[in-house]
Amino acid sequence: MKKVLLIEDDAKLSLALQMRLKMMKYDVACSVDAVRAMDEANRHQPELVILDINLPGGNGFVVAERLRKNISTMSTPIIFITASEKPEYRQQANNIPQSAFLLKPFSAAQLADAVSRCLNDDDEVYEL
Amino acid sequence: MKIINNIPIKNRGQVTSLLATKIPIDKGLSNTWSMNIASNPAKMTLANQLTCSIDTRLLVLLVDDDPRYLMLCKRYLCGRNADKFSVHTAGTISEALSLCGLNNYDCLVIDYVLPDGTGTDLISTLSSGGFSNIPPAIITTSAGGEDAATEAIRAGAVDYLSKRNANSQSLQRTICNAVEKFQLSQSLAQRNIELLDANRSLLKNKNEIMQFYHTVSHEVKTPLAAAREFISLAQDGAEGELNDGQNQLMQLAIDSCDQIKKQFTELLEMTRLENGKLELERSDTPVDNLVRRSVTSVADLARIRKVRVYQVGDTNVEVLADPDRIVQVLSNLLHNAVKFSKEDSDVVLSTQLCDSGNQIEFCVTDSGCGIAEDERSSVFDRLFQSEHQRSQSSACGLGLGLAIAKHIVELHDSVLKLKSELNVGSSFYFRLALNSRNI
Repeated sequence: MKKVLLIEDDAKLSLALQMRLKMMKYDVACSVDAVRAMDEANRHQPELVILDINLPGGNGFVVAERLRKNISTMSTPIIFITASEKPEYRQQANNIPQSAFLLKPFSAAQLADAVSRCLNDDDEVYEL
Repeated sequence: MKIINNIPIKNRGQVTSLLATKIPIDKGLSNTWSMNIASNPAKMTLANQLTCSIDTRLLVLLVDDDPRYLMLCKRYLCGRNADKFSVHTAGTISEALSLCGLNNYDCLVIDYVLPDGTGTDLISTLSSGGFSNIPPAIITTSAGGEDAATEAIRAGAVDYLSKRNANSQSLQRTICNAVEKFQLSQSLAQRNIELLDANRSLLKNKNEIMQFYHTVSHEVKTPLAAAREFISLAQDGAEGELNDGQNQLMQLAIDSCDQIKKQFTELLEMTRLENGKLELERSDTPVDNLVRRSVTSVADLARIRKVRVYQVGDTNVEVLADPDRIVQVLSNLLHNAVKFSKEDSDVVLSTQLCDSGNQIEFCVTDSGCGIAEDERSSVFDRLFQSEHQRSQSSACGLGLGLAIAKHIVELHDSVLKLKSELNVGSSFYFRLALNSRNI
């Protein structure tokens, strides 16, 4: 099973997304903040990271930067998720290679589409 | 104008008791009257006692090295109109500067040629010398004519008076006009400051409102995302299969979540539009693409409400527009048209070339309930909900759709217009310029 690291501080949404990802047959690890996210990434070596932008301890883009600097996660696809419609968030996500962007609340179909495309096509940036 | 306390004096005894309190005295009133009340009230002259009042006269400083001319001007100003002017005099620039430091004059009348400089020198010194509230200045001259007048005005004088033409009437009129003009310009300057402050405050409020909307939107949409996902998981059998009825209920719950999301998005979009933070991404856009996407967006709603939606007119042209935003406008108009149309009626999206083929007009027409005449001017306002429409349909939303559509059309340098008749129907229409290739 492919491994997904979910970094989301809202406990209920994190639980819902874990259940959804398990239904989609992925092995899911979780983190609730930017500080512990890197430890989890190093421990689990995920094939995909789903990353909330507004996190305690630093925003998702800081985590993304650290992931890209880390040899084991420098090519790991990242799906940014956020409830904020600030255009600069979408622009910043676009600037990060091998990434996608989902606006909460998103449907299971949208999540499945993003995950499937991120894991199958490594070289493209997906914007949804 | 210095204000001296109004002391309604009736008798010496009263004066004595009032004199026991502190009264601000204008030290510069040496050439008019003054109350020497600080020393010995008993020695106060009758004239002083009886003339204590609020001084509403214009305080004027005459600056001229000719004492006879000064006396003449004083007579011009104080002769018959002792209640209108109060006059000080100075013979040199330095004397005038000392007096200006002690008094708040309403007007200065300055001779162009003075022993220690020119009248314009005095004006320049006052402007750059840290004096607050520099009064309006009038330059007088016995010679020099237009050149002197021009130099005086350039130096900051508000008017110019030839001594040869000076008489009581002209001097008084010139002073009064100068004072009035000065007061008006002060008032305007003050208003400008207040406007600038108000603008700054509004801008700050706007930014705070934007931030507030972002925060509220974020705080609501995360738990909304969780709720939606749990419902979806239940629908997908995460805790066992659901029967048809349960599935239907779950779907209604999901539709409500999507409706909440849509309304928050509209709210934020409206805020961005009003704050000028929405940017278009224009490109050469085929009209048939715009029309097709828009009609498709209302297909489900039209089927549910049993309303026919179809397109007529020219589509084989291109416009320079933001395609997603124009589809948003057309979809909104079509959505409203279908929502407020009766069953088994038609909604038409027509496209027609106009303006000698330079523009294309998009028009959405329905045969719905129409909009009352007294509501038509408000229909594009934020949060507007027609009373008639409310009675026809319960699904009204936030009322931002038309306001957003109007803003988007305006960003495309066009105007969204309306024709309507109650119980007959409405037409919303706007024009876009054709891509130059098509003209």
